[in-house]
Amino acid sequence: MDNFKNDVLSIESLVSLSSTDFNRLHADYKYLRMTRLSLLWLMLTGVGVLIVLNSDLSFWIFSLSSFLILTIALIYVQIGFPRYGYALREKDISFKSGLIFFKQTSVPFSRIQHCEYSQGPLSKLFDLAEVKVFTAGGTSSDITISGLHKEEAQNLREEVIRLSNLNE
Amino acid sequence: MNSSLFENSQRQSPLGVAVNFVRNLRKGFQIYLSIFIVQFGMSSDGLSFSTKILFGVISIGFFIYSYFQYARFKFRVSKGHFILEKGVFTSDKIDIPLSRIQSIHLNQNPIQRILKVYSLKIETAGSSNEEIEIPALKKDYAEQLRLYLSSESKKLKKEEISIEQGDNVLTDLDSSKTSKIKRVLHSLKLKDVLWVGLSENHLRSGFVLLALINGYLWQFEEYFDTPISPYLETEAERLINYSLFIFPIALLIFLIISVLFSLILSTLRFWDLSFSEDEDYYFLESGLLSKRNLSIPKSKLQVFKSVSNPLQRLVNYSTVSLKAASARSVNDNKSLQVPGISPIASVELEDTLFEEMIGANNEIKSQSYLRRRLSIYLIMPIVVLGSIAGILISYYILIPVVLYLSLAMWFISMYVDSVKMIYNKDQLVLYKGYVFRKKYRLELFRLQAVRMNQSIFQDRQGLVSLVLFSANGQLSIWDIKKEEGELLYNICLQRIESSNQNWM
Repeated sequence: MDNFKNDVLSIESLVSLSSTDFNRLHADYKYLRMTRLSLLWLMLTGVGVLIVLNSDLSFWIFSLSSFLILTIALIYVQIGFPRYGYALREKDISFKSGLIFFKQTSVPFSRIQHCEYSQGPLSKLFDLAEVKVFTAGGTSSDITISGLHKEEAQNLREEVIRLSNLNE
Repeated sequence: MNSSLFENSQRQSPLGVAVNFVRNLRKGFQIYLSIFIVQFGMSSDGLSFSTKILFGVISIGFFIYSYFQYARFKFRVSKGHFILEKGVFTSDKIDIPLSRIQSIHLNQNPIQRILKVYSLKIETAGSSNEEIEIPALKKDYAEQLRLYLSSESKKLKKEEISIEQGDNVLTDLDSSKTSKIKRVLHSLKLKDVLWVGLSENHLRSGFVLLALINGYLWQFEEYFDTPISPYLETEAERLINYSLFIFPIALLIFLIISVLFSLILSTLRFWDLSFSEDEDYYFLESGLLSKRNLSIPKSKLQVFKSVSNPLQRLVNYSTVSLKAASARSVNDNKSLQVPGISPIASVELEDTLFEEMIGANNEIKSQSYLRRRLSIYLIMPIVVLGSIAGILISYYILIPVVLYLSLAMWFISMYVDSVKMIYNKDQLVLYKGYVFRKKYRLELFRLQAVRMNQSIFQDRQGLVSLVLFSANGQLSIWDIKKEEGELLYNICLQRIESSNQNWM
């Protein structure tokens, strides 16, 4: 504790993270999530159809409810999309997500261990990619910023690495 | 220090063969046990001749293996690296730069105590490298090696730092030479150890014991079946008739065994415990059969935690944990657990660890929303299930349900009252728990990330939950007002970002 410095920190000078700091994700991410959901729905419905056809259950009620569920899920994605976003400030990076369970995480650059760029098979179709930011000790505080355009993701990763080296 | 002593490749003490042998026997215990049980399952009249021979052959095999383990185990220190070669069938070469050494421990288990040798453990930072252990060293030699390694490692670290900062190397080295005085902060006598054992969480000990026994039984279930099951079948009917008497007796026996088990455990763990400090480190030594010797650097202390259960509060004890960051993972986190500290001593210790909290203390009590949420989790399922069962089966089921409900409601209100948080711009103190009263204290700049959670239910009430991540686990703060949550969120971030202190 030899270099301890007790800087004065007044509440008035506190810089707060506001919702205007956040960048929206690429609009294609919405369609990526919808595609992902539809694929999952197709698989489940396929299994469901097989079961229904081999039993006494009404096929019409099944297909009606099945479509209803899909519609609700798609609307959920559409409404929830504006809640997603990332913020890049001088000293930290933040990501927020979730409609029913909203979640916002900030990691200061001085605490970042490493940073990763990755692209899944479905994201490739939409030209999207994600950036993962890793912290020390455990995975619970890591953040994954998905739904970025490929170039944007690459730039973001480089920017994060640059800033975290700067704040080392 | 005679550095040339360690430059040539060398072996540990020949007694290492014995230490290895016992260690291998213990690892191979499963083999012996399974052979024994298979034999027992086939016929229950003692060990047959062939089994005895089998045991002999396996033991000799273990001994030969132990010898080669010893013979192939060589270490040396050269050019600032600690180099270890080992492996019987494989040949491993482990190379550790001395500057990467985090801590060095000397340990003794019962066998090592009988043979009068010590094992030396070296822990390194980061990477998936397992820690390195030299199992058998003579005392003087072990002490020398430890001193040599730690002083070399310190020298190298200092050089690295001073190169970075452009400081004067000589003054740094001088200060590292000043002798360090260990000061004992807390120690347990025999009487204290017994009291600590008596005030442990007996239910937990009991279940740990059950799990342990069950684990062994389960493995060999089918072999036990053959000799025991005919007996069980004839007795089962009689046992059911007596179940009314047997149940409370069994419960009593379970409790007594649990208490005994926690007494034994705590005696084994906390025998001769001493908690001490010097300028840079906290030390904890304890153990009856195997001595444990833990140390954490003061600069790496992340979270201070104190817990007490009702029994402990009765005898005025609490358990303090000091948690340090570990570069590997959260599961591997290092923490010193000091049991049997009186609340006053615990507060004194806290005062030496942290600066006094002055100025702009904000206190936040938990909101009534937490009460409602806990009620939904704890009460609703039982009410629904209980009333269904009551209607379908018998109204008598409702009696324990009502009892549970009143107990749960009382507990929830006590718990919600216990959640309290105090913070200023540097530190945060969090109280949680009614039965197990916990207190956490940490410095905000040690955090590494902050998260805000808000479900739509919380949104309607204007509440949020915060999760503070340190390099040693996380701390959750439930259901505080949104403005307060955002303020704390921003204060934490600002504190981390404006600090240039070493945080981990």
